[in-house]
Amino acid sequence: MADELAFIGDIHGDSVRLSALLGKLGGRRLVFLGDYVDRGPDSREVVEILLEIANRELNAVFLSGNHEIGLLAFLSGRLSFLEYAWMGGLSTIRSYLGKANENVRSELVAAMPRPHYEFLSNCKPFFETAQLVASHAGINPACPESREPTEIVLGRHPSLFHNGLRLSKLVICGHYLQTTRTPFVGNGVLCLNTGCGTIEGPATALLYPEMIFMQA
Amino acid sequence: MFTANQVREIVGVIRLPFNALFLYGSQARGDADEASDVDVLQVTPTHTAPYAVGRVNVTCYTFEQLLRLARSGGLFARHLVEEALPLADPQGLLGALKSNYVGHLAYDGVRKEVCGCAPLLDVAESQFAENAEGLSSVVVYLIRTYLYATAFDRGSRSFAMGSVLELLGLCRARITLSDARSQRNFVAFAAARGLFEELTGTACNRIEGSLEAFIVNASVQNELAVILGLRLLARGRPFTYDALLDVEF
Repeated sequence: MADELAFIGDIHGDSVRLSALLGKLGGRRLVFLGDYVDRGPDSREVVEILLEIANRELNAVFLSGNHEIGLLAFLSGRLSFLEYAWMGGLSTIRSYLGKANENVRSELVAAMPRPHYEFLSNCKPFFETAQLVASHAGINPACPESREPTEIVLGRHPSLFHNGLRLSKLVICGHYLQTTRTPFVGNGVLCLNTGCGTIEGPATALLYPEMIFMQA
Repeated sequence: MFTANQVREIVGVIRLPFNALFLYGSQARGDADEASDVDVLQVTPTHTAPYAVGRVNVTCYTFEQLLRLARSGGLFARHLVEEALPLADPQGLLGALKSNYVGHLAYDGVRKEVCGCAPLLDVAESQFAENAEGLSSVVVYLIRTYLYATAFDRGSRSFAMGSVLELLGLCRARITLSDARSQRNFVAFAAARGLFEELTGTACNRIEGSLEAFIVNASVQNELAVILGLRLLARGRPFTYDALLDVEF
């Protein structure tokens, strides 16, 4: 059972699809690929659900996406309101505040429960085994050994989707929106961002090692 | 029609990458004068902020965003469908937009969105100079959008502002709009804001203590208020996701 994994792609504030998907995954070890917040309607509820899983299933893995990093950077003042809003953060702010009054950043800092902040801060940059590496943005094919967050969480590597790629490990990522709403299956690369919370696409999970996709 | 040199001048200011470039507005209709801006739509692979270089205003949309606008019959989509000229369109995106465009029966929703933007114009004279250009552009944009929507509901099919004002019996508004756009001082802005309040019946009062808080609250249902509010905050500076990559973690 310990080797049976379920990788879960971008959620983006869609708690309804997240709950529906989780209901299909049974007792597997869960590996979430990041981007839990922003864009969709209910980021707070999504984090609440994930926090509950983290407390209940100690071997679950929660990876960082660029949107978690963005939210934390906004909270700490390293990202401006404008930049965070441009990333799709307005819906996250609203989900925590309900209504904003004046200083949005300080109101969000005050409204965010401490466990939520700690959960977001403790997300990992990647998950790796002898056969695969999972991270939000995948790896940089030009520098496949790098595990720097700027590469594997915040990077953009469109060459992951090119034909003829040769990688030593299976790469499982989210981040790159699949407008077809179906997961990308390439040569040693799988992308599970099927537009959940963004284009009303489904939330997608990959059952590993069976290599079966589940969607809700 | 644009000359090859004019096309080169426009394409020369475009920031890569793009999937297509369209000219729209008065230059595309052929009723531009010397003071007219050049309005360009850049279809981008990812979300990109608008920018301006000289008199060339570049609005950026992904093709997916444009398709959504076309399928919902939005005013901007109508603008493009009726008058856009391709400057570069190797994938035939304009044709795809046209075939997905669904006409609107009425533009009540557009006028409601415009009215919901009124708090963006709640600015004191002492603060106006901080963003004179942005505020002047926004008040003109809101009035023009409101007038287009009203004129279309009365049967107009023209995006030429002169025809719209004539149809609505509002020729006096031409000078107010022109002054706000060209002078960009508080007197001209306040006159345009007064015109906005008169036309829409909406007072330009913001109850939130900041523009940021207004944008958050407006984002529930008024996408136009969010877009214009963020542009005001940006004050002409480009803003992109790349800002995130400059943050040290």
